[in-house]
Amino acid sequence: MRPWQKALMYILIVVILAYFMFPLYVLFLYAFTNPHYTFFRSYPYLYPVRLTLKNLLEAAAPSLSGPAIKSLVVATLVGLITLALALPTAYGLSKINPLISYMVIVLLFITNLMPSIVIAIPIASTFVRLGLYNSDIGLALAQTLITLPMAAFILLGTFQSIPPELEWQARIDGASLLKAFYKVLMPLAAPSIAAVYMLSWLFSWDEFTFAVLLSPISPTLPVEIYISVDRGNLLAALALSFVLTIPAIVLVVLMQRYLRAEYLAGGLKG
Amino acid sequence: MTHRQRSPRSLSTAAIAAIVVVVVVVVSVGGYYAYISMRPKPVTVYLYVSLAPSELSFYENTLVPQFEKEHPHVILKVVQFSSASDEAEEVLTLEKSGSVPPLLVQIDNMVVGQLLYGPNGTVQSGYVIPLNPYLSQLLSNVTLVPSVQHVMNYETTAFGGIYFIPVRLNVPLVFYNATVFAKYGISPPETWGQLLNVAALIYNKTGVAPIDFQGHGGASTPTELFQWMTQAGGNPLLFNDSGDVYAMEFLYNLSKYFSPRYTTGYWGSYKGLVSGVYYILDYQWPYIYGVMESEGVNMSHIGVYPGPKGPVNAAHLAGGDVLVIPKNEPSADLKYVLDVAQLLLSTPVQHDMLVSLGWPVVNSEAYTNIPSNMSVLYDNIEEAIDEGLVFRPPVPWITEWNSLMDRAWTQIIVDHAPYNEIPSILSYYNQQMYDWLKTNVGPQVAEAYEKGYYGPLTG
Amino acid sequence: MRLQRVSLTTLLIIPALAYVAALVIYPAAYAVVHSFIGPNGRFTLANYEALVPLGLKLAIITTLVVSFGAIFFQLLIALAVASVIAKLTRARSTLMTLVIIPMGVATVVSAVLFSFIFQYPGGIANEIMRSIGLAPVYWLNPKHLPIVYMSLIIADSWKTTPIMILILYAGMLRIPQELYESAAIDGAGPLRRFARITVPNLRSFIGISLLIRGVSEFNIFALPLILVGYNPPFLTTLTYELYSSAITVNESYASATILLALAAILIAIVYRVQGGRR
Repeated sequence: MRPWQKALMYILIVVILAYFMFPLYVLFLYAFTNPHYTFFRSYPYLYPVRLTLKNLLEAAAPSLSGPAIKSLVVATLVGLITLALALPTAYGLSKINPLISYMVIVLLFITNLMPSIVIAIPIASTFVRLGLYNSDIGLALAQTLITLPMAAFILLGTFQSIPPELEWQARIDGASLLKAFYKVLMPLAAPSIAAVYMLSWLFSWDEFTFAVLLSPISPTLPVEIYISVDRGNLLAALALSFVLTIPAIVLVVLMQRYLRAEYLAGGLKG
Repeated sequence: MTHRQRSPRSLSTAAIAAIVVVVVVVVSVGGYYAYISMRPKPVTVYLYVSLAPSELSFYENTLVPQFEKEHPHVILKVVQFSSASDEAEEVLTLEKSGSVPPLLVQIDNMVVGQLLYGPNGTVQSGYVIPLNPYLSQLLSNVTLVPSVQHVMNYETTAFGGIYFIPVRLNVPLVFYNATVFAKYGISPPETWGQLLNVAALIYNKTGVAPIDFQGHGGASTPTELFQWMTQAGGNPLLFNDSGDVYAMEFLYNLSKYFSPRYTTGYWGSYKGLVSGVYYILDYQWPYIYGVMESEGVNMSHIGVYPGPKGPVNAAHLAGGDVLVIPKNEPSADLKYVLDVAQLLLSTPVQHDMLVSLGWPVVNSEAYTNIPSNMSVLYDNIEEAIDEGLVFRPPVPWITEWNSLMDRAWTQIIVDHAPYNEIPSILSYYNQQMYDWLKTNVGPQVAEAYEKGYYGPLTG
Repeated sequence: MRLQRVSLTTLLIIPALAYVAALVIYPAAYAVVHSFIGPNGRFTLANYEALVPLGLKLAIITTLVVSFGAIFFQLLIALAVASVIAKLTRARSTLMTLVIIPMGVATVVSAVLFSFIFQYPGGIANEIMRSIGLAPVYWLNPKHLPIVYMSLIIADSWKTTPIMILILYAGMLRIPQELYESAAIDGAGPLRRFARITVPNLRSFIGISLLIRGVSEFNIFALPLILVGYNPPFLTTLTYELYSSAITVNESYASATILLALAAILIAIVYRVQGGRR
């Protein structure tokens, strides 16, 4: 590589990093700087001045606990429901003609391409009738739509990669189907199951469209952030954003191996 | 190719079969018609409405059976206007086609003006019949709410007769977040000044701009502004009399405390109150109370009251529907049309409308025996009605006024015109309205407009 | 035994399919059907006609322009970033980790952050403009749509480009290194190698990433809702605004159906293009 090419390369890297890191820098800057130097100025300081924890402690506190608990409960439920639906599906699919199982997975992904807002409005009116509107379980049921295809796909791949002889051997030794699944397959698939759980949790943690339409009265954190913006309370919105983002970033870094495009296909919705 | 060589025998069989079929058909059809014409002919009466699905099913499942039971040979058909925005236009089309069935029309009071005035600008040449000869029948056993009585008195002075009768009212109320009010020890503001203070207080304590306003534009915003200007003693149709200017200047100051997305506030908007985006929903139709209840909102968090009183009066804008009978060939069937109208105004039906549909109604005797879970709402509706109602005058050019008022609103409040330009901006729209009337309706109407001949109908 | 196996596996799959049918197919059909039904329960186009004065045309234009603009922008960035990372000899995974972090940031949060960046008057972007001696810009001025569209595309791509980078990077790793080496011996410069080797070999990966991003792009909702509210409207925000008022819910079904139709057309187009190549 010639020197000018190398220089160009470094410049490119800096520009790339600037684009992808700068908004995060803004998050930290606004979260920890005395608001007199950021929010309350029309032209904010671009470097940290007078660092403080007051923003987070004071702005986030009043509206944090309810939404944070709701988000935690719903995300946990989404992880559980996803596994409850995806484990039997993936196991069943791993036992049939790969062409058919592929078609089922494609079908799941295609339904996932449906705009959330299109289906969320009819779901909302049905939920009002069923008493599921604003409930944790109702929202979790809807958000699982986003995670199910990815979960079924990852788990199908895992089950297919486990040699069938292991399971047969267990069955010959007299284990029931359930027991063979539990004793032989589950331990081998454990890492994938954990990954599916955490990815589902992450999607639910960040999800907005279903949350704002199906549970507006008891909001999740993303919806509470939106409500704060709508009220004009940007300091609270920013502080809540910080709380929402930290676990998400940690999960992304930990889960990097599983953040593969084909897994996420429909999952990353606006 | 083979059927060309059919034998004569099979041909004649086919011919006989065909003749038999024809004879059977002719005899049965003829017999059926003979049978029909022997029977007493049922009369069909039509009721045109523009209703939500639940309301329509009330009409079809409760009202129609009741009417048809009392009138065995009459069929009552409830017909929904095919588009909610052009109700008057549909009646006019029917009138112009010349074939009008026996027909009663329940229509929004805002558009009834389009039916009142005929081609030469008089009510006599209009499209609906005067109801005076039938009033004693229609209003037997009915005590009208006083402000509705005032409207009918106005009709008599303005048109020389009664051409429409209100059948249901709609009175906007103020909804608020009772929890937040209780937390800061605030009681609902009773005057405009208190409203400003309460808004400032909540804003300073919570950082939340607390008021939502129907700022979306369309017909919604001008309708709400009509009430504000009337409460300041103005004639909203003029845009720029002292009351109009006072109201607009007040709203300009109040808009500091408007929730940031107030420009999406519209008829039926309530979601922000429920999710805590804002704490005061400034005037909304009462039916959202039932909508919130059905969504599982804990209603003890929602306060409702008639709203602050204006500097001059506390008039509440009356929305709702009126009854008209379109002009028709003289016919004995008119009797049945009147019977339908009488039924709609009768105390039991009005009580059902109030309780099952949440409609404020016009018959004051219907306001008894209200179920307890709704009584909070109805007490406030009744109080609002008692404080006085204001009707928009039934002028056919109300839509033009709406769109001009909408523009004035956008320029002054949404786009923050300088405060001291408010009077001149409003005068500009007064001039626009005048010019429009002069060109499109006629100089006399324009002059009458400028003199304030058309204005709010208060009671 | 064989029959039993088949029925058992079918039984295992049915819950997931039933769940999807109940929560996707039924609601979508419900929305489409009800968009054509008036209050009298009969067929009508009134719900669609009512959308026209509410800004339907602008919503469609905005949705299309921002969607296609964003996809194109993301493709350019992703190609550049992926090829830079693929060229690196050190710190590849570190750079990749940093680049994909925005994926974990909620859309709502990215919208809040860009609302500070594109604030007017003032704001972070304008502070940068000022420090290099340029005039401030009203980035989200609803009366000047091109610049709003541009700002929205930049804001949206921050969070959504990483997935494209991942796909294209995976594709680049599959291109045999010898192709580049022999091209370099033939004297082809880096740009030429990119155009002659990288892009043609990445075709199917570009197709997949366009499909995945394209459909999601039609659905962007939280970002415009927070950054620009309802002005200019997107089909999603228009739908939500109509839904928010109790009297225009039927019209929200009509707007949702238009959104659904656009997404379906896009899927069909990409499917044909992809299928034709196979």
